[in-house]
Amino acid sequence: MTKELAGIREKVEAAEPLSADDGLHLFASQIS
Amino acid sequence: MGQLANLVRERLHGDVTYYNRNLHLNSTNVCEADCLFCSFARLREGMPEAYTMSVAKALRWISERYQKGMTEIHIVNGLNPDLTFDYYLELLREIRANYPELHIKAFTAVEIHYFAEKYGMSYEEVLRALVEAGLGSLPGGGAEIFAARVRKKICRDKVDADGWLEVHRVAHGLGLHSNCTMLYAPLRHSKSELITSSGFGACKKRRTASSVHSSRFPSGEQPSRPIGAPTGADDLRTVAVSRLMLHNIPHIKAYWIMLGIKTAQLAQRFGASDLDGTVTEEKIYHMAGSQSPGSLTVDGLRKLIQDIGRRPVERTTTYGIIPEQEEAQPAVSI
Repeated sequence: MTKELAGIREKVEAAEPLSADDGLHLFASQIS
Repeated sequence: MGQLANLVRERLHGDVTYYNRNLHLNSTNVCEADCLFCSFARLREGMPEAYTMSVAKALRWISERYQKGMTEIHIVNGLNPDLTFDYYLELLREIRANYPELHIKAFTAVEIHYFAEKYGMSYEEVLRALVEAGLGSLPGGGAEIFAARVRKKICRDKVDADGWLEVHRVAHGLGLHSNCTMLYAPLRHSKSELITSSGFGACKKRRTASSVHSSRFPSGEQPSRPIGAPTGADDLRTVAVSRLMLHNIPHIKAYWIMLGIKTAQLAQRFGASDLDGTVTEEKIYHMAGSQSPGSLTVDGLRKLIQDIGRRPVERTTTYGIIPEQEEAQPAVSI
Protein backbone atom coordinates (compact mmCIF):
# COMPACT_ATOMS: atom_id res chain seq x y z
CA MET A 1 0.00 0.00 0.00
CA THR A 2 1.38 3.43 -0.92
CA LYS A 3 1.84 6.23 1.57
CA GLU A 4 -1.06 8.10 -0.03
CA LEU A 5 -3.42 5.15 0.23
CA ALA A 6 -2.43 4.54 3.83
CA GLY A 7 -3.28 8.17 4.55
CA ILE A 8 -6.64 7.76 2.85
CA ARG A 9 -7.39 4.67 4.93
CA GLU A 10 -6.58 6.60 8.10
CA LYS A 11 -8.88 9.44 7.08
CA VAL A 12 -11.77 7.11 6.23
CA GLU A 13 -11.41 5.18 9.46
CA ALA A 14 -11.39 8.47 11.36
CA ALA A 15 -14.47 9.63 9.42
CA GLU A 16 -12.62 12.60 7.96
CA PRO A 17 -13.63 13.90 4.52
CA LEU A 18 -11.33 13.08 1.61
CA SER A 19 -9.83 15.76 -0.60
CA ALA A 20 -9.88 15.96 -4.41
CA ASP A 21 -6.23 14.90 -4.32
CA ASP A 22 -7.23 11.82 -2.36
CA GLY A 23 -9.76 11.09 -5.08
CA LEU A 24 -7.06 11.32 -7.73
CA HIS A 25 -4.95 8.85 -5.80
CA LEU A 26 -7.87 6.46 -5.49
CA PHE A 27 -8.49 6.61 -9.22
CA ALA A 28 -4.82 6.39 -10.07
CA SER A 29 -4.34 3.31 -7.96
CA GLN A 30 -7.61 1.52 -8.47
CA ILE A 31 -9.28 2.41 -11.74
CA SER A 32 -7.91 0.56 -14.75
CA MET B 1 -11.03 0.25 -1.29
CA GLY B 2 -14.23 -1.77 -1.32
CA GLN B 3 -13.82 -2.47 2.39
CA LEU B 4 -13.34 1.23 3.13
CA ALA B 5 -16.36 2.19 1.02
CA ASN B 6 -18.40 -0.45 2.81
CA LEU B 7 -17.29 0.99 6.14
CA VAL B 8 -18.59 4.43 5.16
CA ARG B 9 -21.81 2.95 3.79
CA GLU B 10 -22.50 0.99 6.97
CA ARG B 11 -21.79 4.03 9.11
CA LEU B 12 -24.44 5.91 7.16
CA HIS B 13 -27.06 3.22 6.59
CA GLY B 14 -26.18 0.12 8.58
CA ASP B 15 -27.34 -3.01 6.81
CA VAL B 16 -30.21 -1.36 4.93
CA THR B 17 -30.53 -1.30 1.16
CA TYR B 18 -33.32 0.90 -0.17
CA TYR B 19 -35.63 0.34 -3.12
CA ASN B 20 -38.86 1.84 -4.40
CA ARG B 21 -41.85 1.01 -6.58
CA ASN B 22 -41.62 3.17 -9.64
CA LEU B 23 -42.83 3.56 -13.17
CA HIS B 24 -40.84 5.05 -16.07
CA LEU B 25 -42.47 7.16 -18.76
CA ASN B 26 -40.65 8.46 -21.84
CA SER B 27 -43.44 10.26 -23.67
CA THR B 28 -41.31 11.25 -26.67
CA ASN B 29 -38.00 10.07 -28.09
CA VAL B 30 -37.79 12.84 -30.68
CA CYS B 31 -34.67 14.73 -29.66
CA GLU B 32 -32.56 17.47 -31.20
CA ALA B 33 -29.48 16.25 -29.35
CA ASP B 34 -27.27 13.72 -31.09
CA CYS B 35 -25.37 12.16 -28.20
CA LEU B 36 -22.73 9.55 -28.95
CA PHE B 37 -23.99 7.03 -26.40
CA CYS B 38 -27.74 7.26 -27.03
CA SER B 39 -29.78 4.73 -29.03
CA PHE B 40 -33.12 6.00 -27.73
CA ALA B 41 -33.37 9.35 -29.48
CA ARG B 42 -34.67 9.99 -33.00
CA LEU B 43 -33.69 13.35 -34.45
CA ARG B 44 -37.01 14.11 -36.14
CA GLU B 45 -40.64 13.10 -36.05
CA GLY B 46 -41.30 10.64 -38.86
CA MET B 47 -37.99 8.83 -38.57
CA PRO B 48 -38.19 5.06 -37.96
CA GLU B 49 -39.22 4.33 -34.35
CA ALA B 50 -39.73 8.03 -33.56
CA TYR B 51 -42.75 8.59 -31.33
CA THR B 52 -44.53 11.24 -29.33
CA MET B 53 -47.40 10.31 -27.05
CA SER B 54 -50.30 12.72 -26.68
CA VAL B 55 -51.13 13.45 -23.05
CA ALA B 56 -54.15 11.15 -23.37
CA LYS B 57 -51.98 8.38 -24.77
CA ALA B 58 -49.42 8.87 -22.00
CA LEU B 59 -52.19 8.50 -19.43
CA ARG B 60 -53.39 5.30 -21.10
CA TRP B 61 -49.80 4.04 -21.11
CA ILE B 62 -49.56 4.70 -17.38
CA SER B 63 -52.95 3.15 -16.61
CA GLU B 64 -51.92 -0.05 -18.39
CA ARG B 65 -48.83 -0.39 -16.21
CA TYR B 66 -49.82 1.21 -12.92
CA GLN B 67 -49.91 -1.10 -9.91
CA LYS B 68 -51.23 -0.44 -6.46
CA GLY B 69 -48.40 0.51 -4.14
CA MET B 70 -46.33 2.44 -6.69
CA THR B 71 -45.03 5.70 -5.24
CA GLU B 72 -43.07 7.33 -8.06
CA ILE B 73 -43.23 8.09 -11.75
CA HIS B 74 -39.93 8.93 -13.43
CA ILE B 75 -40.25 10.95 -16.64
CA VAL B 76 -37.39 11.72 -19.01
CA ASN B 77 -37.92 12.74 -22.62
CA GLY B 78 -36.10 13.79 -25.76
CA LEU B 79 -35.57 17.47 -26.53
CA ASN B 80 -38.54 17.62 -28.88
CA PRO B 81 -38.68 20.85 -30.94
CA ASP B 82 -42.33 20.32 -31.89
CA LEU B 83 -43.90 20.39 -28.42
CA THR B 84 -45.20 23.40 -26.52
CA PHE B 85 -44.48 24.07 -22.85
CA ASP B 86 -48.18 23.53 -22.21
CA TYR B 87 -47.75 19.90 -23.27
CA TYR B 88 -45.46 19.27 -20.30
CA LEU B 89 -47.64 21.24 -17.90
CA GLU B 90 -50.74 19.34 -18.99
CA LEU B 91 -48.89 16.02 -18.71
CA LEU B 92 -47.92 16.75 -15.11
CA ARG B 93 -51.34 18.13 -14.16
CA GLU B 94 -53.13 15.09 -15.54
CA ILE B 95 -50.79 12.65 -13.82
CA ARG B 96 -51.19 14.48 -10.53
CA ALA B 97 -54.97 14.56 -10.89
CA ASN B 98 -55.25 10.88 -11.80
CA TYR B 99 -52.46 9.47 -9.64
CA PRO B 100 -52.06 11.77 -6.62
CA GLU B 101 -50.13 9.04 -4.79
CA LEU B 102 -47.28 9.16 -7.34
CA HIS B 103 -44.35 11.49 -6.71
CA ILE B 104 -43.43 12.99 -10.09
CA LYS B 105 -39.66 12.92 -10.63
CA ALA B 106 -39.29 14.45 -14.04
CA PHE B 107 -37.09 16.27 -16.56
CA THR B 108 -33.31 16.33 -16.36
CA ALA B 109 -31.41 19.58 -16.08
CA VAL B 110 -30.75 19.24 -19.80
CA GLU B 111 -34.50 19.36 -20.46
CA ILE B 112 -35.04 22.25 -18.02
CA HIS B 113 -32.30 24.22 -19.82
CA TYR B 114 -33.88 23.36 -23.18
CA PHE B 115 -37.29 24.55 -22.00
CA ALA B 116 -35.79 27.80 -20.72
CA GLU B 117 -34.05 28.50 -24.03
CA LYS B 118 -36.90 27.38 -26.27
CA TYR B 119 -39.73 29.07 -24.42
CA GLY B 120 -37.83 32.22 -23.38
CA MET B 121 -38.00 31.64 -19.64
CA SER B 122 -35.52 31.60 -16.78
CA TYR B 123 -34.69 28.33 -15.04
CA GLU B 124 -36.68 29.54 -12.06
CA GLU B 125 -39.73 30.39 -14.16
CA VAL B 126 -39.62 26.97 -15.83
CA LEU B 127 -39.25 25.14 -12.54
CA ARG B 128 -41.91 27.15 -10.73
CA ALA B 129 -44.41 26.42 -13.50
CA LEU B 130 -43.58 22.71 -13.47
CA VAL B 131 -43.81 22.53 -9.68
CA GLU B 132 -47.19 24.24 -9.82
CA ALA B 133 -48.28 21.55 -12.29
CA GLY B 134 -47.06 18.70 -10.10
CA LEU B 135 -43.28 18.29 -10.38
CA GLY B 136 -41.83 16.82 -7.19
CA SER B 137 -38.09 16.43 -7.90
CA LEU B 138 -35.46 16.27 -10.63
CA PRO B 139 -33.74 13.12 -11.86
CA GLY B 140 -29.97 13.25 -12.19
CA GLY B 141 -29.60 12.59 -15.90
CA GLY B 142 -27.65 14.69 -18.33
CA ALA B 143 -24.63 15.22 -16.09
CA GLU B 144 -22.73 12.46 -17.90
CA ILE B 145 -19.09 13.61 -17.61
CA PHE B 146 -18.62 17.31 -16.91
CA ALA B 147 -15.13 17.68 -18.44
CA ALA B 148 -15.53 20.00 -21.44
CA ARG B 149 -13.29 17.87 -23.70
CA VAL B 150 -15.38 14.76 -23.08
CA ARG B 151 -18.69 16.58 -23.16
CA LYS B 152 -17.89 18.09 -26.54
CA LYS B 153 -17.33 14.63 -27.96
CA ILE B 154 -20.16 12.67 -26.37
CA CYS B 155 -23.02 15.16 -25.92
CA ARG B 156 -22.14 18.42 -27.64
CA ASP B 157 -25.78 19.55 -27.83
CA LYS B 158 -26.42 19.35 -24.10
CA VAL B 159 -26.14 22.15 -21.56
CA ASP B 160 -22.60 22.47 -20.19
CA ALA B 161 -21.53 21.59 -16.67
CA ASP B 162 -22.11 25.08 -15.28
CA GLY B 163 -25.62 25.16 -16.72
CA TRP B 164 -26.44 21.69 -15.38
CA LEU B 165 -25.28 22.69 -11.91
CA GLU B 166 -27.13 25.99 -12.06
CA VAL B 167 -30.43 24.24 -12.85
CA HIS B 168 -29.98 22.03 -9.80
CA ARG B 169 -28.96 24.99 -7.67
CA VAL B 170 -32.14 26.83 -8.63
CA ALA B 171 -34.21 23.69 -8.04
CA HIS B 172 -32.71 23.26 -4.60
CA GLY B 173 -33.51 26.89 -3.86
CA LEU B 174 -37.15 26.10 -4.59
CA GLY B 175 -37.01 23.19 -2.16
CA LEU B 176 -36.78 20.38 -4.71
CA HIS B 177 -34.65 17.30 -4.21
CA SER B 178 -32.50 16.10 -7.06
CA ASN B 179 -30.24 13.25 -8.10
CA CYS B 180 -26.86 13.42 -9.80
CA THR B 181 -25.95 10.78 -12.35
CA MET B 182 -22.59 10.11 -13.92
CA LEU B 183 -22.48 8.20 -17.20
CA TYR B 184 -18.91 7.02 -17.17
CA ALA B 185 -16.74 5.30 -19.73
CA PRO B 186 -18.29 6.58 -22.95
CA LEU B 187 -14.73 7.65 -23.83
CA ARG B 188 -11.31 6.84 -22.51
CA HIS B 189 -11.38 9.87 -20.27
CA SER B 190 -8.48 10.58 -17.99
CA LYS B 191 -8.62 9.98 -14.27
CA SER B 192 -8.30 13.70 -13.56
CA GLU B 193 -11.24 14.41 -15.88
CA LEU B 194 -13.31 11.92 -13.96
CA ILE B 195 -12.44 13.23 -10.56
CA THR B 196 -12.43 16.95 -11.20
CA SER B 197 -15.03 17.40 -13.88
CA SER B 198 -17.68 14.78 -13.32
CA GLY B 199 -20.24 14.63 -10.59
CA PHE B 200 -17.44 13.63 -8.22
CA GLY B 201 -15.73 17.00 -8.09
CA ALA B 202 -18.36 19.44 -9.15
CA CYS B 203 -21.13 18.28 -6.87
CA LYS B 204 -18.77 18.28 -3.96
CA LYS B 205 -17.58 21.82 -4.61
CA ARG B 206 -20.89 23.34 -5.53
CA ARG B 207 -23.44 21.51 -3.52
CA THR B 208 -26.10 23.48 -1.72
CA ALA B 209 -27.15 21.08 1.01
CA SER B 210 -26.62 17.44 1.68
CA SER B 211 -30.30 16.62 1.64
CA VAL B 212 -30.94 17.75 -1.88
CA HIS B 213 -28.87 15.15 -3.68
CA SER B 214 -30.95 12.22 -2.58
CA SER B 215 -28.99 9.69 -4.58
CA ARG B 216 -26.54 9.21 -7.34
CA PHE B 217 -25.82 6.21 -9.48
CA PRO B 218 -22.90 5.47 -11.71
CA SER B 219 -24.07 4.01 -14.97
CA GLY B 220 -21.98 1.93 -17.27
CA GLU B 221 -22.77 2.27 -20.96
CA GLN B 222 -24.77 -0.43 -22.67
CA PRO B 223 -23.38 -2.83 -25.24
CA SER B 224 -24.97 -1.82 -28.55
CA ARG B 225 -22.90 1.33 -29.09
CA PRO B 226 -19.40 1.02 -30.56
CA ILE B 227 -17.53 2.42 -27.59
CA GLY B 228 -15.60 0.62 -24.90
CA ALA B 229 -17.55 -0.82 -22.01
CA PRO B 230 -16.40 -0.80 -18.38
CA THR B 231 -15.75 -4.13 -16.74
CA GLY B 232 -17.57 -5.33 -13.64
CA ALA B 233 -14.47 -4.42 -11.65
CA ASP B 234 -14.58 -0.88 -13.08
CA ASP B 235 -18.23 -0.61 -12.00
CA LEU B 236 -17.53 -1.74 -8.44
CA ARG B 237 -14.46 0.49 -8.14
CA THR B 238 -16.47 3.47 -9.35
CA VAL B 239 -19.21 2.77 -6.81
CA ALA B 240 -16.59 2.48 -4.08
CA VAL B 241 -14.77 5.70 -5.02
CA SER B 242 -18.14 7.45 -5.23
CA ARG B 243 -19.04 6.43 -1.68
CA LEU B 244 -15.64 7.47 -0.38
CA MET B 245 -15.60 10.87 -2.10
CA LEU B 246 -19.20 12.10 -2.05
CA HIS B 247 -19.76 13.18 1.52
CA ASN B 248 -22.56 15.51 0.44
CA ILE B 249 -24.62 12.74 -1.16
CA PRO B 250 -26.29 10.38 1.28
CA HIS B 251 -27.08 7.52 -1.07
CA ILE B 252 -25.06 5.88 -3.82
CA LYS B 253 -27.47 4.07 -6.07
CA ALA B 254 -26.39 1.01 -8.03
CA TYR B 255 -29.00 1.18 -10.76
CA TRP B 256 -29.62 -2.42 -11.74
CA ILE B 257 -30.88 -1.54 -15.21
CA MET B 258 -27.49 -0.06 -16.09
CA LEU B 259 -25.05 -2.12 -14.06
CA GLY B 260 -26.86 -5.41 -14.51
CA ILE B 261 -28.57 -7.23 -11.67
CA LYS B 262 -25.56 -9.15 -10.36
CA THR B 263 -23.17 -6.19 -10.30
CA ALA B 264 -25.80 -3.93 -8.72
CA GLN B 265 -26.38 -6.57 -6.07
CA LEU B 266 -22.68 -6.95 -5.32
CA ALA B 267 -22.31 -3.15 -5.23
CA GLN B 268 -24.34 -3.21 -2.00
CA ARG B 269 -21.09 -4.47 -0.41
CA PHE B 270 -18.95 -1.85 -2.18
CA GLY B 271 -20.56 1.38 -1.00
CA ALA B 272 -23.99 1.43 -2.60
CA SER B 273 -27.12 1.64 -0.43
CA ASP B 274 -29.83 1.62 -3.08
CA LEU B 275 -30.83 -0.56 -6.04
CA ASP B 276 -33.43 1.82 -7.52
CA GLY B 277 -36.84 0.26 -7.98
CA THR B 278 -39.22 -1.96 -9.87
CA VAL B 279 -38.80 0.30 -12.95
CA THR B 280 -41.90 -0.42 -15.00
CA GLU B 281 -40.93 0.06 -17.88
CA GLU B 282 -37.46 1.19 -18.93
CA LYS B 283 -36.85 2.12 -22.57
CA ILE B 284 -33.70 4.24 -22.86
CA TYR B 285 -31.13 1.65 -21.83
CA HIS B 286 -32.98 -1.21 -23.45
CA MET B 287 -32.95 0.56 -26.80
CA ALA B 288 -29.19 0.79 -26.24
CA GLY B 289 -29.01 -2.96 -25.77
CA SER B 290 -29.34 -3.46 -22.03
CA GLN B 291 -29.71 -7.16 -21.23
CA SER B 292 -31.43 -6.49 -17.89
CA PRO B 293 -35.15 -7.26 -17.62
CA GLY B 294 -37.53 -4.35 -18.19
CA SER B 295 -38.75 -4.46 -14.63
CA LEU B 296 -38.38 -6.37 -11.38
CA THR B 297 -41.00 -7.44 -8.90
CA VAL B 298 -40.89 -6.22 -5.33
CA ASP B 299 -40.24 -9.79 -4.21
CA GLY B 300 -37.43 -10.06 -6.72
CA LEU B 301 -35.81 -6.86 -5.51
CA ARG B 302 -36.13 -7.86 -1.88
CA LYS B 303 -34.61 -11.27 -2.56
CA LEU B 304 -31.64 -9.71 -4.35
CA ILE B 305 -31.04 -7.49 -1.34
CA GLN B 306 -31.45 -10.26 1.22
CA ASP B 307 -29.18 -12.62 -0.73
CA ILE B 308 -26.30 -10.14 -0.38
CA GLY B 309 -26.89 -9.92 3.36
CA ARG B 310 -28.67 -6.59 3.41
CA ARG B 311 -32.03 -5.64 4.84
CA PRO B 312 -34.53 -4.40 2.22
CA VAL B 313 -36.40 -1.21 3.07
CA GLU B 314 -38.92 0.39 0.75
CA ARG B 315 -38.53 4.14 0.42
CA THR B 316 -40.26 7.12 -1.13
CA THR B 317 -38.45 9.18 -3.77
CA THR B 318 -36.98 11.36 -1.02
CA TYR B 319 -36.07 8.44 1.24
CA GLY B 320 -39.02 8.41 3.57
CA ILE B 321 -39.48 4.86 4.85
CA ILE B 322 -42.59 2.98 3.75
CA PRO B 323 -43.88 0.24 6.04
CA GLU B 324 -44.06 -3.19 4.44
CA GLN B 325 -47.23 -3.52 2.39
CA GLU B 326 -49.14 -6.22 0.64
CA GLU B 327 -47.44 -7.32 -2.57
CA ALA B 328 -49.00 -6.04 -5.80
CA GLN B 329 -49.28 -8.20 -8.90
CA PRO B 330 -45.88 -8.52 -10.57
CA ALA B 331 -45.29 -6.92 -13.97
CA VAL B 332 -42.47 -9.20 -15.07
CA SER B 333 -40.90 -11.93 -13.02
CA ILE B 334 -37.17 -12.39 -12.81
